[in-house]
Amino acid sequence: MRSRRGRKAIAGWAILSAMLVFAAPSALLAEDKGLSPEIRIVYLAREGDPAYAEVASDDGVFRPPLPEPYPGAELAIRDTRATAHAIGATVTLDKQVLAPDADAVGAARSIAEGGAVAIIADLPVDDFTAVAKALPAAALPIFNIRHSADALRRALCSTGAFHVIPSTSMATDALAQFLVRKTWRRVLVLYGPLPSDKLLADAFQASAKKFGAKIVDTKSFIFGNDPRRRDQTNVAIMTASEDYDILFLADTLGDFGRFVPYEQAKPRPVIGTEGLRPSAWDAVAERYGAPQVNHRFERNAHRPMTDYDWAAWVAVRAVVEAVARAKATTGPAIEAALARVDLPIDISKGVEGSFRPWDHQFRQSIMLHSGDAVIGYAPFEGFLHQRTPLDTLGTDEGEAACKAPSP
Amino acid sequence: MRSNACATLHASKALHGIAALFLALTGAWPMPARAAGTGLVFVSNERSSEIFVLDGSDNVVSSFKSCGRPRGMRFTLDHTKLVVACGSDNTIAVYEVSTHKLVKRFRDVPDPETFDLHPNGHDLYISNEDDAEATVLNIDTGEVTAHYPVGDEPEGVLATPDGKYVFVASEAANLVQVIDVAAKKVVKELLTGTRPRRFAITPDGKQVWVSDEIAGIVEIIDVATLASVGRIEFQPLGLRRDEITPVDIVMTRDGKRAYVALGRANHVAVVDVPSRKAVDYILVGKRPWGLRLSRDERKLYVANGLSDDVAIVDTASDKVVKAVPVGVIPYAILIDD
Repeated sequence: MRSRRGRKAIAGWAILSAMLVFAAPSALLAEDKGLSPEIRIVYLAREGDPAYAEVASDDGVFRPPLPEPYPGAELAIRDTRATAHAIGATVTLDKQVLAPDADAVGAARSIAEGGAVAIIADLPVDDFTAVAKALPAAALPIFNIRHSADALRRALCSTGAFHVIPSTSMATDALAQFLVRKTWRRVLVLYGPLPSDKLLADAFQASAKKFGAKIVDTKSFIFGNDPRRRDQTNVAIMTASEDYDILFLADTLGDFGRFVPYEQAKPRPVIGTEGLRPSAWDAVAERYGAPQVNHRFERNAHRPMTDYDWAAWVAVRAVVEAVARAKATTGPAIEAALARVDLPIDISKGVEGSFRPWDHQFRQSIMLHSGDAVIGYAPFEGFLHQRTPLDTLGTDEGEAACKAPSP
Repeated sequence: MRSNACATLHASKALHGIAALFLALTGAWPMPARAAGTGLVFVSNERSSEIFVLDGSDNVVSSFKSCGRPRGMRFTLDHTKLVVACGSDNTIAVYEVSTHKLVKRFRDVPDPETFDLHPNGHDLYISNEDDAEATVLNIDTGEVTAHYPVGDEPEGVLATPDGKYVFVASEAANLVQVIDVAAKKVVKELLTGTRPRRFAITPDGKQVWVSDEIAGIVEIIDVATLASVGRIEFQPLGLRRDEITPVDIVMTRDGKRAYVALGRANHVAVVDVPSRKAVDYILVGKRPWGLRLSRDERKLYVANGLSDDVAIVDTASDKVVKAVPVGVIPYAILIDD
């Protein structure tokens, strides 16, 4: 099941480094412990994954299909090759694609038994959940690079799942901090008919409460032109009664929301799924070395780097850091290092990232972007935490369902 | 950061024979004197692609449009030429110090960020940020004589004053690589803290200091063994750990004091070199990176990247005495004194 593409790329790099890259290997790992130099990471995807399918555009919304984040992992292999060489390790990436009806759990088990040290799971949420629950927690890290639901973190907190992509609550906390810092505290919330719209609105509501923003009203919208339902279809009417500083919009489908900024009764900024939006990464980020990462990515993948590409990139870097700093070379050792050691991982967002012991959520800053610029990085100045300001975003230790394992 | 033990030896073509003899006898490189001595201060501004010029009393006397995104700068050994790395133009540009006129351009140097001039006076060791390479450009002949693949996003480059080694820091790879100049190969790869950026060398040539920006520390590398032997931490009052992002380092000629620009902390740390302790912190401006000491070491020039100014610190009192507005995102400072 090994992908030719993945193996070929790795072989190419290996040859390159053998030929001319480093004349004098220092081979720290080999010197220190006589450890096996091959660190194999499996990128597991499923054929026909609906997340990457063409999206119908009957509603006129242009939704380009989401590109698979595999090139993010590939880039990280290239980016870490010098580090890997310096410590005497070879890091390889092996892409495996499950057939549409193949058993994900069985495949993951044989990957773990086959000596891979980590799985980057580019899988639908049901597959991901099943794999994380089926494998022993200490077997190897299974990286979530796609799913942001907080419930997933709660459900899998005692498994080997490591969530690189930010949780929804981290994203809404970032927005709430921004509002409070601007003293744009009065918020009108509009949410759509989908369950995901309601979940997002609820997450924002919790964030507003956490940081002291005031929700003046919460209203749901529906699609349609029925004049008898104007109270739910007409943005001007929905926004005319009470005053507010900013409108939070939860429209995960992205149709209705496109018009909201210009249909309000009052001229007010919009945040959420329109206007100012939270993200893990942005292809136009200008600071902290992000332009270099974006440029390298674009040069190889011929497209802009997405949040998911970035998450796959971080997953590989996390494994390499565990190998380099904690001298971990097996799945269980890497899992333990990521879960328990204070292992700093460079993420090109100006801070060191690391995994929270209590739910394996990756600590990181959140970008707030407007489409053509990154407006700010949360956590913002003034939001403090006894551990690190990064822990002002998302679920803190005391709020988590699981207790952190003792070190 | 080179010794000025030979500062009185004037470089000229006539002296090349003597220089070669000197080299043969001592194994060290001769240090020609500074010829221009205009007293001018040059500041590269990476966002506005300008070089600002300050006079001896720290007033802006002129500025000129440079090649695109000028970052690292060095004088040639005789101080008559200013060499500038221009990242967005893939260029190394050479300007006349006295007239600020462009004399030469070396093109097709991919994304140069910064560089050091080897004490032989003609080899520039350049970090090519985008290509994970260090290239060697001979500025007499214009020839690229070597490529050394390094880690991703290489930045700081330091040639040791004896000409033996060149140190290259790769930001994104958390690596310092050491090139043996004579052997023309990388002889050591040192794993560092997160995002190693810049170097300084103690005047006795025994220690190389490297700043780990995101780890928030300076690491000390022993040159004899090429091993990390210590670290310096910073705790300015009232600032959080993640706000300490050290970048540039300069050291006094007596090897007693070092100054470290702390980036997001908006301070410069004063370090007692023998005890490896930070003894003072100077508030300078927003996100200081580039540093330079005047020759008499009475003034420290600080490039504040996010407040577009150069702060001038009186080193006797460790206080900022003046802040001079310059271009957008000042990066490096050079003083022709």
